[in-house]
Amino acid sequence: MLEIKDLHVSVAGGTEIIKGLNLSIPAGEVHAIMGPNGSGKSTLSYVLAGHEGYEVTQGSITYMGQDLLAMDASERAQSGVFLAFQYPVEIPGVQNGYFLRSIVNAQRVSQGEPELNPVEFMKKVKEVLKLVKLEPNMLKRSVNEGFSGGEKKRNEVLQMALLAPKLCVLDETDSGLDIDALRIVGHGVDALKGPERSFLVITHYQRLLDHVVPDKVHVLQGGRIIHSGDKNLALELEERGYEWLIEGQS
Amino acid sequence: MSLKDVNWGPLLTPSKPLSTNENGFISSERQELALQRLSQFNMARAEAWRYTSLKRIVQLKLMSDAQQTEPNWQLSFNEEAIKASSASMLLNSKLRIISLSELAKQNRDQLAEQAFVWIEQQFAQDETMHDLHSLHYRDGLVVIVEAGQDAGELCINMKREKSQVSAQSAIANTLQIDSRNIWFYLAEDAALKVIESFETEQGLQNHTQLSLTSMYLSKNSKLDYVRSQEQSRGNEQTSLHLGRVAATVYAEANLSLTSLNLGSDLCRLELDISLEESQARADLSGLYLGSSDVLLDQHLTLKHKAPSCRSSQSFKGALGAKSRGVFTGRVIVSQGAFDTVAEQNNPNLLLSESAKAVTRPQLEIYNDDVECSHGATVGQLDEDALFYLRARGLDEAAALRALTSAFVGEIRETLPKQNLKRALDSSLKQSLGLELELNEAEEWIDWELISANI
Ligand SMILES: Nc1ncnc2c1ncn2[C@@H]1O[C@H](COP(=O)(O)OP(=O)(O)OP(=O)(O)O)[C@@H](O)[C@H]1O
Ligand SMILES: [Mg+2]
Repeated sequence: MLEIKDLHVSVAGGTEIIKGLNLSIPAGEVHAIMGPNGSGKSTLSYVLAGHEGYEVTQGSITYMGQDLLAMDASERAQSGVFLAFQYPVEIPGVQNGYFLRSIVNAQRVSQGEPELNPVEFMKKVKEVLKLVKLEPNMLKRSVNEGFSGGEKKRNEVLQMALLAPKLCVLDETDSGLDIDALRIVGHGVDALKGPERSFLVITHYQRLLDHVVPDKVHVLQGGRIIHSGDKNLALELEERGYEWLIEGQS
Repeated sequence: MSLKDVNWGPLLTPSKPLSTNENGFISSERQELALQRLSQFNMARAEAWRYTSLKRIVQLKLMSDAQQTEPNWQLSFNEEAIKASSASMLLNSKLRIISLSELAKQNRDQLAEQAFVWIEQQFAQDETMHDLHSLHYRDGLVVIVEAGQDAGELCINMKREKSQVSAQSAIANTLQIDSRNIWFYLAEDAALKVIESFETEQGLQNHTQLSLTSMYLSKNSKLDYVRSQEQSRGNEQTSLHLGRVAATVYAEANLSLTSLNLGSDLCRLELDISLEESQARADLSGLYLGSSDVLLDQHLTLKHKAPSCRSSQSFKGALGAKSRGVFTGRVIVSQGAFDTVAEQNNPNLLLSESAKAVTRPQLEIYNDDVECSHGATVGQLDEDALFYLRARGLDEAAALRALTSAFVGEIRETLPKQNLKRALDSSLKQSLGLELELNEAEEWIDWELISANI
């Protein structure tokens, strides 16, 4: 599904943040990335989503056999790459319901399917609202504007469920959630698991991984993956922190 | 100086103000004088007119009386068309519409007398109006709403079509001027909604719109006023709009004003609002759209003269290509105007690298008990928001559209008529190349309603 080889990324015209990263995620697998603050996790997620603020100076990313780096952000989204943002953007004046329908229809059109009218869309969105336990009146508000931290994250999962992407990148979707919301989001994500769908779950905590059990856990530090293991690695990290790994590095 | 002392030429002679071109045009000598005055006037007000030069007007030749023709006037009252010929005097129990020349001549009852005295004072005091009017004076239209009456909605549209312009006007540098002046006089507790609009047919050149709108809001009256201006732009840069709106608002009266400037080569709009007595309120909002190399100059003066008045200003500029937008917002709070709340907001959206926005808040506050807020921004579309939308599969053009729609959406929603929304939409499309994300069928989607029905 996703094959990252020797990836080097700099802030456009500036410092290098990702320094030779290799990662391979087969279809149907869940991979978790953990790592200290500032290690480059969000940068990796932005690069996957096609943010122009970051420059890939070396290496390759292959997604479903295609050169991902040759596609722009909207093409990537249309071909099934989804990033749940660590900090979802507020867009005043764009109604959430309208936005959701636009993105669903943009995807449908790109796949040669007819657009959904408001009633058809509403049927679809109602189910998904239940999945993430958001009220329908959230559709009337502006995208993410004034949403609580947890509501923003649930709105991300809502979009993910609507678009049914193939590669889901979740950047700290669990942070800022209360215990119930964590369960809701965890179930929501878990419900989307399937043989044709892969997940890259960026998190600081083990708890989301109780709901979305990873096949592999990687530790990102200083722009590189310094250690990989199975789901037990997350438990170990929770107990021991990162220091023992970082020391082993240097 | 009173109205009677001014030699307005045919102004006060009998005329049919809205229908024919028989009367009401000023003589060529008079026009020469007007041009002269106008060029001096430009210099005399160097600061207020810093961004707008009237050179273009002064250099143009005015048409002779014979060449001038009248534009199309459309008036409707509560959705019913008023024929031009009857417009010199329309009376019902709530509202009367009368030409200024008629008002000057007739035996006036008390209310009409009050209105007339006010108009005379305006003529005497308002220099800007005076000067602009000398260029091309047409008889005025006086609208009086009786005390305690909610008169409903009056729509006044002036449209210039290409076929109406006489053959001679095709000669370069000959200027067709359409002008109008309208006076709204609301007696105590009266209410009125007004939609005033200006249009020209596509492709018309060498065309100037002059407009003066004056409002008198007596105690506890309420005026909702929407002004929409749109002119086809010529490659000679000779479509000009010079507009002025002056309002005097008395105790507890309420003025709501919305202005759309959707296109001109040069548009200068002056708003002069005075809150005269306590608890008067003015809510002003506007949108100006700039394309190619047009100049849009909004010049607003708001005076808080009495205690406990409220005002808000929200003017938005969306500027593309090499256009320039200027917003000057002068708020003057007098010594005695305690407990004043005044808000001002002027966000500008630059849609191209060469577009420019100038925003000049000018607050002059002469007492302590004042809550004044102002915010002005000039910027591009939010990059993070653009990326967010694109990361959800909208292509760049769609993402731009969505964000621009959001920027203009707020004011679009307040527009009371579908045709105003359509005018805004088509203007966005034509001048900024942006097709609004919201189309008509969808804009009122009520998600809850749909959700309840499924
Ligand atoms: N646009 C940018 N300009 C400058 N520096 C940047 C930019 N984006 C990221 N960085 C830097 O790159 C490093 C990695 O940032 P990133 O956001 O990827 O970290 P992270 O692993 O997601 O951290 P956290 O756990 O706190 O979310 C940080 O030092 C950050 O300051
Ligand atoms: Mg991060």
